[in-house]
Parts: sequence; C-alpha cells; structure tokens
Amino acid sequence: MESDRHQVTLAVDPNLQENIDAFCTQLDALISTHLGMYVIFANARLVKVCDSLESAMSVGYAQFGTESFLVQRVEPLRSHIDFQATCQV
Amino acid sequence: MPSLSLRFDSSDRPLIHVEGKPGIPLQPSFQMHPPNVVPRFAEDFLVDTGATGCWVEEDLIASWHLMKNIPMLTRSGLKPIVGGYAYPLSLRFQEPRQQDSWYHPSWPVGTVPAGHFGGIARGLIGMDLLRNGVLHYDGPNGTCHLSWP
Repeated sequence: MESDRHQVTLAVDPNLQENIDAFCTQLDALISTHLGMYVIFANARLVKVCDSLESAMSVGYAQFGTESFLVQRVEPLRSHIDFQATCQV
Repeated sequence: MPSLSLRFDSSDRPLIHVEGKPGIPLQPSFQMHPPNVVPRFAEDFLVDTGATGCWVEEDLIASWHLMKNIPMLTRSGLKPIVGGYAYPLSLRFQEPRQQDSWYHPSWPVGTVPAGHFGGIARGLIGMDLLRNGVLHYDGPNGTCHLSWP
C-alpha cells in the first residue's frame, strides 16, 4: 500500500525464512538471467525456474505438497507494498 | 477482442464482478478432501490503475487456509522484510447479462483487512493484471470497457 508508511514486520516460518534468505542472496544473479520468471526455492535451494505462477505453484505442490516452499517472481524488490491509499473508503 | 462493460460506484470508480477460487494448482487438493468442494466467492472489485497489484479482503479466503508460499518482500535497510502474503487465486471477471468473461487460472492476490473497502467492493484489481488488457475509460460519457486478447 502506498500506504504502508507503517510497515509491519510479520513473523515468518523459519523454513520459509531460509528460502527467502536464499532467494535474496541469488536475486541479483537471477535478475540478470531470468527477469520476470517465477522461481521455486525449497530447503534454501533454487529448485526450478518457471514462466508462470501457475506453473510454479503446480511444480511446488507436486514436489513438496504441504512442506514449506517459496515462490517468487524475479524482479527487483520494492521499497514498499504498492497500494493506493485513496482506494480506502 | 472480448470485452466487458464495467459498472461504477458512487464515486465513479469502475467496478468489476469477480469470481475467485483457489488457483488451479490448488484445486485438486480441495476436490480430494472433504467436503470435496472447491470454495469460491463472487464479489465486486474495484478496478484501479493506481495500484500495482491485486488485493482481496482477507475474510473472503481465510477459511480456505491457503499456504503462505508467496511472501510479499519489501526492501528495508539491509534485510528484506515480509510485508504480507499473496495467494494464488483463479479469477474470473464477468458482468451480469454480458457474454464474455476473462479468466486467470492462478494470479497472486494480496490480502487487506476485512471491511477495508467499506462495503463498496471486496477487493481490487491492479495494474499487474490490467496491463494484459485494454482499459477504456470515458468520463464524459460515463463508460468504461475492459478488453483483452
């Protein structure tokens, strides 16, 4: 939310946090090679690069089921969650 | 190109009717476990070219217990933080008494607190999705059309 001037830090599952950390470590390299694609991370490792969210989620659920895995679009991190405060009624 | 003629709220903001379900990759799990029904909602959403993403009021999907696989990461100092989660939903845009519908099998949608849109709408369609179509807003004539390939 363009709103998010009061950004909240959420508690994150430790397994998911490991995957987030691994994703962030590799993000610059991924941007140079797979910008706009979707990546799956599990057990702190890059598992697969997919061309759509649907494909990434299908692969993720097929391989990991209800175990923790991360799906992210390869793009530069935003400085805030972008949302129009004016949309609030 | 198929298209929909959109409605407006009292502030002349375009509204679109959205049927939402868990994204296609998630639906088999719902079909295989009791009550063996894929949950759904059907609600009006705002169409907002000023928002980068799509959002839904969280109470609409809370009972679905979707996994948190898509954290919304934001840059904050040295370490990115999780500002929320997006969930892969299937979205179908369809207006009453209109033939066309625009279907997205799995789209990332963030959540906002229940009541965020004050009853006018229950969610918001942002530019990440709208950029795949053509939005024609005619203020003087009071029309708004959404077309897609």
